[in-house]
Amino acid sequence: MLLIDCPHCGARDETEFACGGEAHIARPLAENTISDAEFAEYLFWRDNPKGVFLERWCHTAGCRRWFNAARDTVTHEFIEIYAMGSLPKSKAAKDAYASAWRRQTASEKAAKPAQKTSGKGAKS
Amino acid sequence: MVSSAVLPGRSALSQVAAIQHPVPKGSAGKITIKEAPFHDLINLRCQPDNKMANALIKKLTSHSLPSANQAAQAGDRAVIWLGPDEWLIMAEAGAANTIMANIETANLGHVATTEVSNAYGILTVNGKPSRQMLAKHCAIDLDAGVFTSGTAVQTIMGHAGIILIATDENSFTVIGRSSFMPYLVALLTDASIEYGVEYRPA
Ligand SMILES: [Zn+2]
Repeated sequence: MLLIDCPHCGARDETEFACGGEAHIARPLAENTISDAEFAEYLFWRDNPKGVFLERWCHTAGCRRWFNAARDTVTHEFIEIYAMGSLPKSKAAKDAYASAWRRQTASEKAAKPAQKTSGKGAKS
Repeated sequence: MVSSAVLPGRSALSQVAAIQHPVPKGSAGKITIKEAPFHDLINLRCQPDNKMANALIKKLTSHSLPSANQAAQAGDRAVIWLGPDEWLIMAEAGAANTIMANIETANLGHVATTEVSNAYGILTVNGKPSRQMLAKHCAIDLDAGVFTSGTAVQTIMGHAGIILIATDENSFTVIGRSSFMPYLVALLTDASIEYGVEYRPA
C-alpha cells in the first residue's frame, strides 16, 4: 500500500486516490491540419514507460483535487508531486518530460500556436 | 411545497432500530453511537484569503475559515475544511436559508453556497476505545497525539466515504452520505462489540 502526499491534505492511503493516467497531453488546436492517425496520438495513444512516468492523480475520497505526480513505475516511488498546469522541477521528472515519446509527436506540435501567431500563447 | 406539518422530517437513520451489546469483562470502555439528525449543512466555495468572507463566516459561526484538515466548532455551528477552496458549514435545523442569504447578499466576490443538508447523515461516537474501534476500518492515523481535537478529514470508513472529526479525546463526529448511514451504523456497532456498544437512534 502506498502513502501518497496530497498537496492539500498531506500523506494519505492509496485507496483514497484515483490515477488519471498520463499527464501533459495537449489537445491539438482547432485549426490543426494533422491526419487522423496523428490525431489518434492525442486521443488514444498513451505512454507506458518502465521508470519515471508523469501522471495525473486525483484525491477522490479526500479533497477531490487533481494534481500531477512523477512516479517510478518500477519501484512505485513518488519522485515529485506538482500542481496541475505546471511542469515538474526535479531532474528525474524533467528528464522524463523531455524524453517522453509524446514530445516528438505531430499531435503535440499541433497543440502549440504557429510561430506567426506568437503572443496569443496557448500553453500545453 | 408540502409543509413540514403534513410531512414530518425523517432522518437518514429513521429506519434503524437501537442496537445494544453488553460490555464484556476486560473492555476498555463502552462505546456509544448516536445519530445527530436534522442539522443544516451548507457547502461553501471560497478563496481562503477572502477577508470579507472570513469576517462574515466568523460572524455566522464564531470562527473564520479553518485551515487544512481542521474543523472549528462553536455551539450548534461548525465550519469544516473540505479542500483548498471548499468548506462545510454545519448549523442547527432551519438555519441554512438565513446563513445562505447572509452570504449571498454580502457581495463577497467569487463565493458560492449549496445547501446539502439532506445529502448527509451525522453520527457521534463516544467512548474510551473510540480511536481503536474507528481505526479498524479507517487508514487515517488516529493516534491521540496526531488526530487531535478539531482535526477533520475526508476519508474512507469501510466502503463509505466519510468526514471524520475529532471533537474530544474520546469523541468523534462521523458525517456520511444519507444512503450509507445504515451501513455505517452496522459497521461501527459491529466493530464495537468487543468493547460493548449502544447505538441510540435520535
Ligand atoms: Zn487531498
